Amino acid sequence: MKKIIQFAVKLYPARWRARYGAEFDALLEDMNAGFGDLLNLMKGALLMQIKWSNIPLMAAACGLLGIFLAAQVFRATPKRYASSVKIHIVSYRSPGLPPEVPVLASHVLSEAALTRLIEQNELYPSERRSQSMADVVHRFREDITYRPTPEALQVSFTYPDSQKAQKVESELVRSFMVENFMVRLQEASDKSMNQQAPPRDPTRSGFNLIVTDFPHPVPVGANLIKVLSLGFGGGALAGVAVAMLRRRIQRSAGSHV
Amino acid sequence: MSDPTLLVLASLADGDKHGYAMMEDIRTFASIRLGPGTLYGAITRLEERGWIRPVNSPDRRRPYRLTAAGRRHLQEELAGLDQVVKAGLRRLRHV
Repeated sequence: MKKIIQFAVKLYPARWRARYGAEFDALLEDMNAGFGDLLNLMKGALLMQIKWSNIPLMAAACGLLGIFLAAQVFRATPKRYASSVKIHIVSYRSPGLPPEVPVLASHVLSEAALTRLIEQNELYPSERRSQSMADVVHRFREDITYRPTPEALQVSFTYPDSQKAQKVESELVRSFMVENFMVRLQEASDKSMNQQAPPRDPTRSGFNLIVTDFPHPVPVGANLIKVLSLGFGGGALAGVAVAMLRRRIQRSAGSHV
Repeated sequence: MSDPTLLVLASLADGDKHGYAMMEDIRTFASIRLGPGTLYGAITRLEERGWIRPVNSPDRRRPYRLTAAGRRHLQEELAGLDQVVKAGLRRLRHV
């Protein structure tokens, strides 16, 4: 504690320490300073820096304070995890997104299917207590990202619980694969039942969905380093502004004397 | 009465004291423990305003002395406080 207090005394402006440093050290030795005194001393140092307007030190002190505040904000912000999978589309005939895919996606992302997923996985417990299921499904849709391209479907789900994010994402992908299987089964059934039927629209068949990776939840949102840098930058700027304002006030007061 | 500058002035009213002696004195007469940062913040302000001045001493524990201006200021502040205390007590008796 003694060394920390000795370090904290150095946070006072050099000019102030030159005047009061020796007697201040003597006081700290006499009083057997504790943790509360350390905080009091740091507050005193900050106020003296503001008062004596040492701009670089003031910027550094406020920058450190900004880092501390940013870390608290980062800690208090709830974490979210995104789990993503790319479903590859293998198209045998026509180029472009097969027309069955949007139909297939509408089944997977239908209100009934999403309601089932919410209930089975007990998603959004607090929202379900206070909102209608339609609103919760709307929220669920906002957390699902579905991006179709001619080559692949990018499906991802973001949720505060990493395990649930991964599990629900796996189930969404499985639903796509089951729907794909059902389409192909229906096509095979149509073909065998109706041999005399006219040839089908070639764009209505000839694709397959393949999944090659497994969903891994990754944290999303603010990056810690960026948040801390922002805290330091914001704090330092505020420190410079306060020190300059203080200096200006002192000059204007001096010019009026 | 918790303004640190007023507490320091009151402490010096009966004689010169260094930082630790002021801290202990204030703890005794006001039951308030001033932290080192608060105490020296008050000392710095009071010296700037000319209400106290350091006394030469060979020791690192430099004593401070109330100036005439500081004594006048303390008297004015205490008179103001005295009015508030008397008015408060009078009103309490009427309730």
